[in-house]
Amino acid sequence: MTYSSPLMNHLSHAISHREPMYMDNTPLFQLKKKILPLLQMSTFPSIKDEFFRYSKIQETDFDNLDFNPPPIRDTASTLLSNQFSGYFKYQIIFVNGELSLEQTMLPKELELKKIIDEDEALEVFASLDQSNFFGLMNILYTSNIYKLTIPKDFKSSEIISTVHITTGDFKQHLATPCLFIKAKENSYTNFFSLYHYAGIGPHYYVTNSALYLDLENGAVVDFSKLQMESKLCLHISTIQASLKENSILNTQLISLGGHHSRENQKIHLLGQNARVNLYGLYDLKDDMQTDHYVEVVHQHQQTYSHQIFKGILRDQSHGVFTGKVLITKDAKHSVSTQLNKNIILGDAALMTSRPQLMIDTDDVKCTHGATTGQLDPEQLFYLNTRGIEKDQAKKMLYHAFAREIIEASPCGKIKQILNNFILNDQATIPWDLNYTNRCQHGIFSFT
Amino acid sequence: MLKINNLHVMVEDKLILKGIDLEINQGEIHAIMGPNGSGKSTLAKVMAGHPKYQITEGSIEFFDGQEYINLMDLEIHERAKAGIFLGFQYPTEIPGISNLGFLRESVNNVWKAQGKKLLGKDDFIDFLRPMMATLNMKELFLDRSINEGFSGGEKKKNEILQLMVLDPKLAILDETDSGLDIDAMKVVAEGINRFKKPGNATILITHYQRLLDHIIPDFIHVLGDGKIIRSGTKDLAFELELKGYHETGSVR
Repeated sequence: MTYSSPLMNHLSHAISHREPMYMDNTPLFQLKKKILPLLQMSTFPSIKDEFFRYSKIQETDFDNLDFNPPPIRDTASTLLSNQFSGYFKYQIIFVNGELSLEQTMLPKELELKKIIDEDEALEVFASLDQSNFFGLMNILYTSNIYKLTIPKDFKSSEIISTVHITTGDFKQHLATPCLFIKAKENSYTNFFSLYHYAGIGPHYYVTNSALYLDLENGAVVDFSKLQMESKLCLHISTIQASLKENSILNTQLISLGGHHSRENQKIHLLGQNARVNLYGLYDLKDDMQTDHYVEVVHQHQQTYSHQIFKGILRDQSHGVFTGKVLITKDAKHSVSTQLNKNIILGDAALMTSRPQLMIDTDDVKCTHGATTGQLDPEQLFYLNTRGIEKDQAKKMLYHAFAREIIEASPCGKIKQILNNFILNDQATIPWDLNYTNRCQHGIFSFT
Repeated sequence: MLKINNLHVMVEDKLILKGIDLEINQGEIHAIMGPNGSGKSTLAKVMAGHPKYQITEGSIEFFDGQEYINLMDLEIHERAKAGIFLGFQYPTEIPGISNLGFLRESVNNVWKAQGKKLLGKDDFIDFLRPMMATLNMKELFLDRSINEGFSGGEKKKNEILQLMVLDPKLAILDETDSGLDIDAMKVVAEGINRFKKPGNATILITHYQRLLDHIIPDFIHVLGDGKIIRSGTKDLAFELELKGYHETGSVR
């Protein structure tokens, strides 16, 4: 079986005929030539594949794409990124999947560059998960791979935002931003990634983004992502990370938009005391689907993973959580915890929760749990008896449920943004910030 | 202030209250006693509007300051705004919502409906402080999630704090004394006594006479098998404490 489709035909043609878009970057082109056969030999993931069993993403979703994206105009994207720059000092801006260098601003110690070197391209190839169909597709379609290097001992509490803006004229197109982040020894960085649709009416497009993280000894990365794509969009994301000794990665993925979305996370814990904390929240309505597929591989003794994913499912929405933890024979004394909790609100809403533990050694601690239920009627009654109307009380309870995930961010600004979106159900970004009310005790107030 | 007439209440197809008649006037404290399963908590919850409890016969009328209204016509939150407060026997834990956020939301909703001026955040905390001092509650308590990880005593103090803050016309306190040690009992009783004013009324639901050592009721009613089977003054509580519900002929 081979994968053949309009997209594949386009890629084959572009790469085989070496279209001008690749002329300026030979190593990337060579990399694509290596990857193309891998994708051609693959089959598009389907419900027959265990890892894709409940996904609603189909091969036909890619059939009617227009492979000639519109030129980027300085309209909504500039406006949005300008507003954004007033909020976060440092930003990496992608518009329709393409890096906007002129709008990007980073601390002087950090280096962001295209991968144009042959060795670097080989390094990319070596770190690719060749079984990740969408990861391969991302590299093949992207016009550039970017590498951000965080120097040794760099530490900053300033957030680095990566903003992915999709403009209103990006209809039936495919965006494939690709970023490699190398966090060198003992560095600390805090990323906030936003996927935002800046058009007026919703329309169909596909985002297939990839983020590769390489954490050297003692590096710490906090990564928060807020996905607020168009409600008709297909959003696919790959986060792949390798963690060396004493490094820590905290991810926080919040899915509020997109029609169908797939969040792949694959984490390799390679060194002693490497630790990953994965948090996720999906708040779905209508017939949205969010499919979190998490794979953590403990490859060294004394490594730690912790997962909490929570979902609020309204209407006919569908949430999927697959949490796969593999503890290899070399990973003695490792600890892994996993929890998936969901509130079902719609009569036709559905949750599929799949904890999967594979343990190949002794002397490890692993826990997992999954709950799916409705709002507690006694909690609702309690709030009602205090004069709080049912709708407001429900809102308070949703927020209370989500708070554990919001609080996972170490950053007040990020928590504030998430609070705004999740509590107030805002469709636009409150850049004028009117800061969310917080009581003087640092805990969110509802009034 | 409150007129309950021939009240029949069913829960999950089982008739629990079988004809309660009770009238409560402003300034009065009524204690309702009775053995387990006699219907005390059902009476409390039905007045607050718990959706599980279905009134099959009879009525509850409440004087809202201008006229008697049928409580059944009001939603749960509207009853709170009209001035009815239920102090829970088992206050619900709600992780993730701070006490301060909750109290402010509750007070703002009730006060707004009552046409009172709302307080800013700092003023609200200043407003809470003396009440919390009465109940020996530390300010850190405001940071904690509603009732989460609270001891039995802390939960009941939290209920009384809400009572003091909302200052309702009618307080229904369901076994507020359960789970309290002697000192906490005195503190809670002090809170209830401070609440008592000529313009409001209290229904105290309790198993034991010990709470009534600290709060003197004007009337005591004994509930048995879904009906009020005896009524009297505070002396009835002593009699019940000495002889029990069976020997006093309160329960057959």
